[in-house]
Amino acid sequence: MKKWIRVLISSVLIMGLFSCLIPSPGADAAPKADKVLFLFAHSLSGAYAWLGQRELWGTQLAIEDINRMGGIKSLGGARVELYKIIDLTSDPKVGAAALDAELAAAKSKGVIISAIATMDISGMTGPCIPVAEKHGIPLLASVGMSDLTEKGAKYFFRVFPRNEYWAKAQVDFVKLLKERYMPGLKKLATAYQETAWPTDLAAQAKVWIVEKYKLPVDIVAEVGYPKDLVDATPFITKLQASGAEVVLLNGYAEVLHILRAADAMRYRPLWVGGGGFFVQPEFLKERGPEGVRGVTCAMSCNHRWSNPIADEVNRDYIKKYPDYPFIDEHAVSGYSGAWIAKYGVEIAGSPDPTKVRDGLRKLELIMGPAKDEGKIKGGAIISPRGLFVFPSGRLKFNEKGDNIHMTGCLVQWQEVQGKMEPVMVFPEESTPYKLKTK
Amino acid sequence: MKREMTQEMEMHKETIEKMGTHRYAKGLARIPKVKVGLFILLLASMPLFVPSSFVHYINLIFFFTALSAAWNVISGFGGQLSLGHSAFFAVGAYTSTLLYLHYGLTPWIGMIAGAFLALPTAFLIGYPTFRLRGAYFVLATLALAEVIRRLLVYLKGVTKGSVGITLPFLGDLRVLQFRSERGYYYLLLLMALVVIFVGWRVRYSRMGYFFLAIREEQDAAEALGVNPKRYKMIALLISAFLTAIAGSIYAQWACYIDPDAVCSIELSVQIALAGILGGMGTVWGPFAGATIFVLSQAVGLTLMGGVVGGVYMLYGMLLIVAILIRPQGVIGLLEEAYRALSKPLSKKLTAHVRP
Amino acid sequence: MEVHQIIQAVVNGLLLGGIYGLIAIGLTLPFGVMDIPNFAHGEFVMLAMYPTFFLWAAFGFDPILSVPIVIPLFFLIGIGVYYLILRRLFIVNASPPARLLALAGLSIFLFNFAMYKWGTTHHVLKASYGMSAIAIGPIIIRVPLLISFVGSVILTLLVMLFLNKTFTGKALLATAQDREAAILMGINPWRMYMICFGLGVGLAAGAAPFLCTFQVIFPTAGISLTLMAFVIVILGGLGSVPGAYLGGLVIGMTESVISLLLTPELAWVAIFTIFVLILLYKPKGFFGKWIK
Repeated sequence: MKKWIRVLISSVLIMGLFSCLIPSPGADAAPKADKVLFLFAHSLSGAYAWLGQRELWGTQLAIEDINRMGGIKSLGGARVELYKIIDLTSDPKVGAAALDAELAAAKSKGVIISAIATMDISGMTGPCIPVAEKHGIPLLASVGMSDLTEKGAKYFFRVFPRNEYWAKAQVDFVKLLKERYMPGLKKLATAYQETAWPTDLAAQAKVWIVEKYKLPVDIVAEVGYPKDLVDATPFITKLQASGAEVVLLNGYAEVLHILRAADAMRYRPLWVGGGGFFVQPEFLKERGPEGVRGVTCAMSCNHRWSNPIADEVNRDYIKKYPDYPFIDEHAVSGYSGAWIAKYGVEIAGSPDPTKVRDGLRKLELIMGPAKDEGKIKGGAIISPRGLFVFPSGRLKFNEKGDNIHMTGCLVQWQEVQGKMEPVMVFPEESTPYKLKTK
Repeated sequence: MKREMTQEMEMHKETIEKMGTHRYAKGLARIPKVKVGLFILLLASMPLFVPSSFVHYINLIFFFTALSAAWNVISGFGGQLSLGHSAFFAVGAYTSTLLYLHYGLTPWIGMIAGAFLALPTAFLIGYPTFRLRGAYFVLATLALAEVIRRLLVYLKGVTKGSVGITLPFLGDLRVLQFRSERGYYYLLLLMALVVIFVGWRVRYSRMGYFFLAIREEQDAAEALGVNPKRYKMIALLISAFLTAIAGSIYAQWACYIDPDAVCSIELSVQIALAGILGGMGTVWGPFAGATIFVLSQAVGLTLMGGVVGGVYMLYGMLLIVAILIRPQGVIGLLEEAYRALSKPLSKKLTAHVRP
Repeated sequence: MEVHQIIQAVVNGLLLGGIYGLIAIGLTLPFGVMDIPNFAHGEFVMLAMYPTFFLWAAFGFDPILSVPIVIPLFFLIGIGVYYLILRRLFIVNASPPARLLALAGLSIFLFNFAMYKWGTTHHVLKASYGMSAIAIGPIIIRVPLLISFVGSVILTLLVMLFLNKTFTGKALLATAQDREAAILMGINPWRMYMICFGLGVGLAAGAAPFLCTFQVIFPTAGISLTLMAFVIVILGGLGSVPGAYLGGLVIGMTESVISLLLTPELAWVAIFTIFVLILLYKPKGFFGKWIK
């Protein structure tokens, strides 16, 4: 009986103590009317930290550019600022709680957050969507998992292609190979890390090959490998045993390891990458210029295509982060995400998040010369910067939050200005670069 | 039921006292309804005066309290430390989700279905492994939970494998969802209290005495006619049932499940850590452990959010320090702290109880 | 599925199993002697990969040269951990769950520390023989795997030599068999525990340079190794060095072959199922406790 009192008092003391340490009102300056606030929330610790880091850099670069180019014109040149940078860790439960806490804290201080840009990783974004819904703040994310826009979320906007389109880019390339370069191609395999996105991508690729295109190739192996792959040898052996000539490989960092192991075991199919790691600077560093020349990968976006601002943004990024030879897909999506959110605010004419959401729904972006950034043409806004992440060069969100003009692209490592970089080769109409065959 | 237990108690009183556990008898004889009621009232009214930013974190606390209190039934009271509880969690989460998405069955019923499905799972896990002791049992539970996780990935036709399942966010009570975190607050608080209550009843019941006997001296207990396997199994079944319900609630709360989120070793370890940290085999230990677990991460995020790996470095250090200072679990620390502050009278009362 | 592919899988599994076995030996010693299940074991392996990498990147040190460097270094680190954490666990008479908690906390701390200190980019150590392979007919034997295997054999033999032939080693075994008797014989059990744990961590570190030759270096590299090591340790018999090594070989081969014949997922389902069966029917593992 005494014990209950003890427990009661101790718990209250502890609760009280800790609640003082949680982000409390008054710590930040009162919000000014001439500022529009975005929030950046991402995994900045744990296994996905590297992704978050790059996404953040892209976002920060975009915000600098936005302010340099006049800020939010419909609000009299209001500056955009990042209200906070939130680390969601790599645990979705904690991440959702952290986001919720921040949003609630902001609300209680009367801070208006106009958008959350840009999140990544389907597993982390999933639980954050209901949080954004509850608070009524638009959430932009560069995620591929189709499900996320199928569940009636009203504040969610996807700035990537859905996996079906991503996989389509991959399979379109296979189709091209079959038609033009490898007519005898018969055996194909899909290989993927056994986590949400790569698995889904592989499944979607299969749907395109078998059902939609009915390509005359056999999928002789579908090999998943665990996230914590220690040795790639059994996995390579399996691929080798299947005799696959083309392998669609979707994964993250372990992709490096797999390719090395495959080389060592003298297994050299044509690797067509799916996403991420095939076009990261580490890939170049590890395999060397000749090791990457000609390697292809299906991607969501790329920094080298016929977007007039691509070169400039790339240069700015490299200047800021000299360890990185080019701006990668995550930084690109962070960059575009911030600009898209900016235009949402422009159209809304107000930092109110629900109005911003409506603004985003109305938003239409088209390509134009760099100097025309922000000009209105026929009801749409010219924004090569906002479209950096969309190879189709157009943006219009549907009610689900997908860009109706979404498409994946195919990227190939080529020599550009003396350096090896991934460049977009498909869709042909979006890029000056052509596919090079050895 | 109460009268029966009091009679039982009389019979066993001598034995119990000899074991130096008359604390249990006292606890049973004087159920502190007023104190507990006050405490619950306090918790229930907290949303009114706690900053709303805190609510989601408190929800997490209640969530982990429920989970580790359920875990405590087998690992603390039952004495068989399990590192495989995420398996039951996953069974609950997937069952209610799949029933909901395929048949439109409301998760309120779905979660009961999931909990009942967790029972044979628990049986299959427990039956062969209860004869193992100590570290062997721990590793067996770990291994079996991993088997289940990999099966969840492999059977992608049913579970959609690693791709995971996204649930629609409707915010509707009929599908066990709430528009705001406050709703979840009450649901999770209720769940946490229910599980703690179950734990309390288990401990201060006849079964609880047998558990203690089994834990302290299994062979002797067996010789006296207590069937360890039977009681361990009951504990495991209760534990699994409750864990599965938590799983279903989680699915509706997070709106996304995949094998890594609901069936990972990481989750099992988190549940176990919260339980051990708080104090295994105590009734309120899981609550203390869950509180520290969640708050340390919340504080960590505030202090070290930008530093890569910062939050978990802090957390890891905290675990080590906590266990070195108080290996029996933090709840004992709280009690000691209060005892140090309280009058000499209570010191007298509790002085001769075997720690 | 042709025969030579299965043989390839067996060969690969065997070579890899040698390293797994070495890692497992580092785990079985503290577990068997001191009843400390080192949940942070894999993290020590991972940590040792970094100095190996940096020595290679800065000075061109072949990883094999790093072996005699990291082992003593981590032996000392292990002793440090013992003094800071483990000794206190013994003093407060911490229960097994408490020990588990402490070591789990250590594990979490260490791999996040690695992320903090060395960033999140992945490093690849390109040893001169990293891509070489010897072909025997259709079977390809990767040189780094071969070297790792040989290395693991040598280190294992050295450990067994140490345990059986040196005074300290024998004292360690004595402490494990019967602590009270060992005390009566004048052996300081605490000193033995310290050496034992240092040795365990040192061996874990010893496996790291070999792994570097064919593995990507990343902070989460250690996590799966820990679980696998535990499986092997139980398989081989708690505290048994040859048991752990042979267990490593068995697990390596099983993983490889079943991955090939079915899927990598099912390979682990199979391994865990076998593991549980061993626990149930032959809990002492292959060699029981303390067969030298």
